[in-house]
Amino acid sequence: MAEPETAGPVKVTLQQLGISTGNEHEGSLDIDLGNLCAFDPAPIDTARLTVDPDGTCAEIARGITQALVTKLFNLPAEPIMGGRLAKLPTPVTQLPRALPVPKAKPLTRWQQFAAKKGIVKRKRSKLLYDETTGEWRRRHGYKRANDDNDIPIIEAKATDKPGEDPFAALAAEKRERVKTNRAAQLANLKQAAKKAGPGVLPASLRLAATLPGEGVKVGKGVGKSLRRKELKDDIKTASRLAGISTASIGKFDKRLAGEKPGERAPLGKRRNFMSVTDTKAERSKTGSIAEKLLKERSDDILDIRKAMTRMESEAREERHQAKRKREEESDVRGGAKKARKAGGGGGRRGIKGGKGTAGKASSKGAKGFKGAAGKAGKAGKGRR
Amino acid sequence: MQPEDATPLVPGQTKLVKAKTRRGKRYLESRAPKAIEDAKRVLFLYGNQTSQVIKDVVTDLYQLKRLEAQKFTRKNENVRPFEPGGETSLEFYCNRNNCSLFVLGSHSKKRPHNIVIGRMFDFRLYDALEMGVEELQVIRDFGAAGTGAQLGNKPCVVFVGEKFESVPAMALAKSLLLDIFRGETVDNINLAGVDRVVMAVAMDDCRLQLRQYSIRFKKSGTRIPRVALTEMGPRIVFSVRRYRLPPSDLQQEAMKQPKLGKKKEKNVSSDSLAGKVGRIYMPKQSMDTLGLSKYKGTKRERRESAREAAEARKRPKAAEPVAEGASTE
Repeated sequence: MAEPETAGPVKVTLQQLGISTGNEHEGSLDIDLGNLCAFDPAPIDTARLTVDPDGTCAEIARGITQALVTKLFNLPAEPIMGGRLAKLPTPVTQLPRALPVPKAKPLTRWQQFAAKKGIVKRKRSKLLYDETTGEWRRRHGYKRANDDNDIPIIEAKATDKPGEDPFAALAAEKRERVKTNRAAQLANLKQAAKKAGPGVLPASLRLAATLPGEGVKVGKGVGKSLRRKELKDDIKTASRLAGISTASIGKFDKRLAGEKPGERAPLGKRRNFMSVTDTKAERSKTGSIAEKLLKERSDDILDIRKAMTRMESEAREERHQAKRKREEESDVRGGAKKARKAGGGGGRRGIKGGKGTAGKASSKGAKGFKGAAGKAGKAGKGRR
Repeated sequence: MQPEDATPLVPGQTKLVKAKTRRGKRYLESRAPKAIEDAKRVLFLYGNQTSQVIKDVVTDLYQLKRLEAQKFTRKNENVRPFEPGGETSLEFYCNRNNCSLFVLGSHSKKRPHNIVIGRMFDFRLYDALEMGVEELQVIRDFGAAGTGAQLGNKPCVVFVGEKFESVPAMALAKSLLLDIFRGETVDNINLAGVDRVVMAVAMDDCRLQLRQYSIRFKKSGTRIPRVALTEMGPRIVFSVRRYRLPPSDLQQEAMKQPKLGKKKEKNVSSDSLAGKVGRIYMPKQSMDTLGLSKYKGTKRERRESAREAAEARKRPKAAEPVAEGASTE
């Protein structure tokens, strides 16, 4: 093609070139690329929507999607089979989580110690040199190096006692190590759960309480003795029940060797019935029952005789005082006898006062006494 | 049965309960809380009564979320998220099925064609939004327009309308719809797999329209393709009814973002002597089929050796008939 003679840039439109990306959405958009989300905060044209809902919606959707796709295709990407892999940024929109944020595990006892001392964890090699076979073997697993089970001969030392099995000793040491390790793991987990709550444990583990009676069948220590005790009790109960399941409730069965007399007796008290012919015993029994009932129903615990004597003495006093008063009135006219009688009277009065107070103190009681005396009298009558 | 060298159990103390099988252990670990979470699963269920409209809506939404959803077929009358005490059954079902979102469809005279969309935090009811279905067009009505979109792909979600910001019910609707449709959070995305758009339009204070389009990329002459949309999915017009916002303590807990450390780059370490050191793992190469590179310096030698080889091939062919002729004679 002949080049134009006039020098100068040639203006070419995108359309002429065949490039047409379509109209993007005008206006600002809140775009969250991490979620592939776009939000158009502009107020919508409700009139247009009511007139032509489908077309308007399609147009808006196309515009916004074009803007979103443009942004996506401008992300850094690498070609893969079947397309291009773009690196998405982290989502911006804050949405609530489904589960709480996982808690950081507190450090175990060893980790705390290591942190304090500055001990760094080093990775162990997968292969280890085995001296017995003279080759490199894996550290753990099938045909491992320095396996305890594969030692053919253990030479005796001077300190060894005859009769001890060194192979068994090795196995016992290993069992001991495993046991302490497991106990330490459990202790670490319990400590972590105590400090930071149960959410800190790994998902497949839980801490639960051991129930009484739950334990290892053959073990050493507390578990074994508890289990034995339970079994022994069970056996004893079973043998007792079997022994008393005869017509005579095991009374006339021969006692076995080593059996104690109380072992096959039925548990619980036996019922005792009274004799039919013994009237004296019956009478005394019913009498005692009646006495007990009456005692329970009486209001006060008091001596009836004492109450009566007190009442009478009070009445005596009152009479005496009344008499005294009458004598004094007559003495006012005749004064000579007064002085003589005053000392005696005063003395007596003092005594009277004492008595009077005593009487007054018991006056309250006396009222009660009267009632009691009345009741006692009635009760006495009933008894006779 | 415990092995012989196990720690003896003492009554009244704590023991460790482990998962009995390896499969069980893996399952429990998959359900444990993670820093970056998996896609939220949706539980689709029906309430006390249903209508055909509601059944269609629930079925369609389930089809959009098939792998990340669980659908119950029976009616449940004691599932009432807006009543106190009515959420216990729902929480139990969500816990059992490991679902953090639910869509409950029901129909009654008071609330016809009712849909409740809600979220759970730690499998306790967090928030919910009740909407009524006013218009519906199912996926089947759009014919084969949806066949371009593949299940499991992450859709684009578009919200139109300022009501999504201003009205609290609409803001909740925006949050819920984004949560339902967004799928799992990923770092990389295959651009060829961007094939769906879900659009939500807030028409006014209490009406919401939901549409779905399938995307086709057309040539545009530039690196960025031109987008052509075809409506494929359910077209639903909702009217917003009741809503329930989250309690403040749960909200605080749920909005906490984890502190994500920088991801450790694999096969890169720093040495005090050499500085930054990287490792490359080479695949096994067979020496026979190894393609050797051509060096310019050996060009003449290669040319000469090729010519000699060609001549050597021609010479025996020429020599043969003569030799044969000679032998026969």
